[in-house]
Amino acid sequence: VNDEQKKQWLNELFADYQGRLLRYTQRFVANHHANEIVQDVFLKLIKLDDPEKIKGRELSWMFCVSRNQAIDHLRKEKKMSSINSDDEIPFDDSIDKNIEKKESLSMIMKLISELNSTQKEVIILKFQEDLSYAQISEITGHTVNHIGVIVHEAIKKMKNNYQTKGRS
Amino acid sequence: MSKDLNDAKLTAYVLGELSDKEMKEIELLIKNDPKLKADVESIKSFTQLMRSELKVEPVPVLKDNVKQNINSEINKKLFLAKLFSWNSPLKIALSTGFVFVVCFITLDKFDDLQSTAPTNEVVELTNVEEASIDKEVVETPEAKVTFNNPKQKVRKKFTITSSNRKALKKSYSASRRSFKEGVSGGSKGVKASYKKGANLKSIRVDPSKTGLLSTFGSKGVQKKLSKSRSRKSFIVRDKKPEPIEPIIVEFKKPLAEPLSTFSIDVDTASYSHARKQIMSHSKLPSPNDVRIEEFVNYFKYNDKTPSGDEPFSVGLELSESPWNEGYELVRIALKGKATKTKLRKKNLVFVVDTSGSMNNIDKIPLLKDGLNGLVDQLNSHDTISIIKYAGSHGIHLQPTNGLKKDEIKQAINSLMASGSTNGEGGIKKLSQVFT
Repeated sequence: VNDEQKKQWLNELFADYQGRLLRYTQRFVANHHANEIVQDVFLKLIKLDDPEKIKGRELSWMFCVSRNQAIDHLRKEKKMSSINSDDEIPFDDSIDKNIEKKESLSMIMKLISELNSTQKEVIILKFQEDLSYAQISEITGHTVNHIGVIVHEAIKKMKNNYQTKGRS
Repeated sequence: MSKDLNDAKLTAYVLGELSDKEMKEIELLIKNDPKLKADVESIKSFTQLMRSELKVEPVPVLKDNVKQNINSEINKKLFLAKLFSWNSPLKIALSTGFVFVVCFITLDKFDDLQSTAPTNEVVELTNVEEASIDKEVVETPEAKVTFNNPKQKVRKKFTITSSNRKALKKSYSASRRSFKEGVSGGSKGVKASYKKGANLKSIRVDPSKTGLLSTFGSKGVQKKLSKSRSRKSFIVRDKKPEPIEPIIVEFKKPLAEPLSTFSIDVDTASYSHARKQIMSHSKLPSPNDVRIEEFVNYFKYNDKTPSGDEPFSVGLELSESPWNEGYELVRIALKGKATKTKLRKKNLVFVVDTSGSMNNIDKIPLLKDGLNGLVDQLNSHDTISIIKYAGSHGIHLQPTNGLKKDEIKQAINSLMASGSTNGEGGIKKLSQVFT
């Protein structure tokens, strides 16, 4: 193992992805939890036995680990407040909250807030994080075809709402 | 295909998520359908709007303490790795270049020769010094060295039959000749025998058919030896790692069984293993871990190097057995030619196993050390390339002139062990580099 190269690799990943990872994680859990989760993700990355295994798909690996940690965290919270654990995983409540706070928030954010959680997540990964269907599939566990359908339906819904709002 | 999926295809088309073939199909559809074209345009503009709006959202930053934690973990990891590399063990001895074989034969006392009582004989050990074979391979103009495991096993078999020491002594010069013939005769294997008088048995040299580098298991030896029986016994090891019952081979009666065999072996691991057991773990090694020939192999003997055309020299020593009064011990030492320090033009291709199993402090780092040592000795007319294989395989270092030491060393030091072992791929790549 070349130390310098590995260090460089880790530092690059840290510099490139910490913010995006945090932004994505924050959409599941509160900020301080998101910070903890992102820290855990990087610690896992550092301790990885076989870094070669994730070479070329570091981003989706980190997003996926982050996502799983966030979901675990949500499950724990839910258990404590005895809420049905089969509920849909809430994605980005903050979008809704922000809208209540700031009416000035972009039209697109409003449209996204009207989607269901799965759609929200996929749309964010696709259009904010600029990931491919394949990468989103790796992160969320949906098949690539399913991602295609989700994106398509979300866009259809958003476009409809956009036009209605534009008319009214 | 459902309408939904087709619609989804349209979106996927806009987002560039389709294969070339599917793209063309959609393009064809759009051409003939203005409504579809409008749909595509509207998706296009909408997704562009969405992208640009979402990009505006600021990227948050991690808390300072989290940043510090991660940074210190990254650096801690590097520090540990450095510590390990300082400890890196012995360099691979690529530069020593000779082969020698030692074997001991315990014979009955000379006095017993005249008696009708059968004499006893035990073949105890053999050896070939280890690193030498690697070197021999490296020497050839277009050498291929496979560094799967730094340890190369080379075994050779020949048989010696003798009923007594006198016979052995007398036939020694003859055997010397036949050894030579045996090897210089190339890969065919030579049988030579020497006979003098009715009592004298023959010495047969039978290098196995593929010549010096041939290998064979120890089974044959065991089979033959285990048949024998009488006074003294010793343990013959088995190659298999799993625990086995010690194999006790007793003295045999040469009159009944005049043939005995022994192997030439290059391993020395048993000695260091036994030493480690005793020194570090304060316990005796298990009987099957003690391989006498490897103990003998471990040490250097300054045997005479062959002169002239002799491929290897044969030395013979006789002494009283220090542990068994009334017995004598014969040591037969084979030693190959010492290589010239001036090396010929070389085109070296290393096929390196970088699979996960090599991820060990005494594997990849040791290999890198050895290779780096080799690189120091390369010069302008040498070429070196590295092929690595794990789950996948590839040319890690294109054929590079031996003077570009920094470049080569950088490539060597960037080798990382992980993944599965696809040796076949590595070998195939090797043949590509050579053609």
